[in-house]
Amino acid sequence: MTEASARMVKYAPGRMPSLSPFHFTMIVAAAALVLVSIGNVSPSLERLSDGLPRMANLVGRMMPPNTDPDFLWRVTLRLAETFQIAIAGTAIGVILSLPIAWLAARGVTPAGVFYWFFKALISLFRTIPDLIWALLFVSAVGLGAVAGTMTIIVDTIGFCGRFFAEAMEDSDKEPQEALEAIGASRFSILFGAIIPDVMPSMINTALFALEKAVRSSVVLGLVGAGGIGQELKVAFDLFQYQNAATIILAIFIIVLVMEHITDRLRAKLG
Amino acid sequence: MNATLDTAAAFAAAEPEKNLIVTEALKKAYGYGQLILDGVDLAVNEGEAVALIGANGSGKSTLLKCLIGLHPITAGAVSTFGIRFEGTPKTREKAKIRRQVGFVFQNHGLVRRLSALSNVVQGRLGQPGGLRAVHQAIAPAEWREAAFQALDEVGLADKAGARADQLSGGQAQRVAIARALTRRPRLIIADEPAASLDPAAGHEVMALFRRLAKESGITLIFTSHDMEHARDYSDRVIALKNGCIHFDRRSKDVRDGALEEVFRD
Ligand SMILES: Nc1ncnc2c1ncn2[C@@H]1O[C@H](COP(=O)(O)OP(=O)(O)OP(=O)(O)O)[C@@H](O)[C@H]1O
Ligand SMILES: [Mg+2]
Repeated sequence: MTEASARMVKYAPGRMPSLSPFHFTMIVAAAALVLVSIGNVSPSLERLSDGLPRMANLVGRMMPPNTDPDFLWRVTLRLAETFQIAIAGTAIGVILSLPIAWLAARGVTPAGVFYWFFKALISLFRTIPDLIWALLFVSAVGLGAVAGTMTIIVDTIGFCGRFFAEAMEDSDKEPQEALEAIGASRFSILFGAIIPDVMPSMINTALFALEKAVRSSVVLGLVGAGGIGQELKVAFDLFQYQNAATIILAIFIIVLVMEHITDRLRAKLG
Repeated sequence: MNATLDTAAAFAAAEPEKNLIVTEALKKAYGYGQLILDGVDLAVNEGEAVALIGANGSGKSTLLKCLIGLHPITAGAVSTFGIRFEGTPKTREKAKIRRQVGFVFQNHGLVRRLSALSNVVQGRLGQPGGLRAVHQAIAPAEWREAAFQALDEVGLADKAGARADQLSGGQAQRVAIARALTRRPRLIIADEPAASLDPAAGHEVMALFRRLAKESGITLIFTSHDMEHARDYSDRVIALKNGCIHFDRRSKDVRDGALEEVFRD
């Protein structure tokens, strides 16, 4: 070995290592899992070739979308309700997220070692999907928009609680120590140092939460939690495909408009 | 003058009624670690300006924090403003001590996204009704005016509306001084207040500190790695070495040789 290659062995980052039997087995197992899954649940070629014409047929029956004024008015009202669910749910959710995130933020929390309890609560809210929350709330408070709003609140706390807490954990510690040294309470440190520091990131997160809420409030109606989704379900259940087409178009437009608005707000505030 | 009164320590100890801070055999270790402070006896009189020097890791910052109960002390006792405590002060005592203290850190510790004025108003936090001091816009008019005056005193009236992250290091440090002054403290503790500043700004800030403290009769304790600062802007220099007080002299009596010895192993 020349001196140069000896130095290279010593200093250069390593090459791809040869596989150990264990790693080789793991890779084969993972590949098998993917292949078996595809075989079991993804559409086979014949299913696809059967399905495509039926899909085309369905789209054909959707045309033209229903533009009857009475129906359009009903859709508009339902859309308004959807929006209200999203806005009310996000607003309440963001406000509730603030104290919960504070309690859950490590190194900032006034709850001491019990911060993990609030972290766990936020995780619970986040990991259970919104449709399941909606089913629970429909059972608890009955069909309608209230169950939808409660779902969005829980969903928003799961989302904002996590990111607010992370922002607070990463916030600038020096001013917080400086205020602590002169006897400021934890509460005034929250409002005096932490919130001003994390405000841009919180606004960003809240806008994403709103976007997310509009998207989920659209489907909540499928399980009876109010909004435009309810109308969509009725349309499909009664085979009124032209109504369904109108509703799907309306949803498409509303989500697009919402994303555009939040993008603009973000650009303005950023 | 009596020979036993030769050191500043003896001088302060001779007038116990004027003592603002006293430590008795103060020991401090973090967790189960070794002792950082190993029996510090110290007395500081009201109105004195004291410089604390010592090598990196000699425990200067630790000592400052112990004086106001920011860290629990391991053994011995501290009394600040006549409030004596061992371990940690009780919540009520802690609040009473910190209410009368202004703290200035090496890196100003300003809230970056707030205006200079809001940052100065925040000096009132910890005082009764302090919650309204979180922002200048909701602070009582009187506090707001006092904050502006403090900014004026440090020569930054025109920067009152500037955000803290748009100030230069020297300006930010002066805002931090204004924040400490606005609460009309009896004691200002400054941990390397000039360390992040260029030589000219450093002298400016230290001179300002000294003048304002003298004018208002505020007791000043600061640490510094700059021996010129330590001697020129204090009445008294205390050197820490190996967890103990290595010397404690009037500033005018401190000779270069003595300083070098502090930093030698
Ligand atoms: N919060 C802490 N937890 C554990 N150890 C600490 C902590 N703060 C300081 N120490 C240790 O205590 C010793 C003294 O630190 P201190 O910051 O008081 O020194 P210093 O004299 O201020 O040093 P410098 O001149 O670098 O500021 C160091 O060994 C440091 O590692
Ligand atoms: Mg230090």
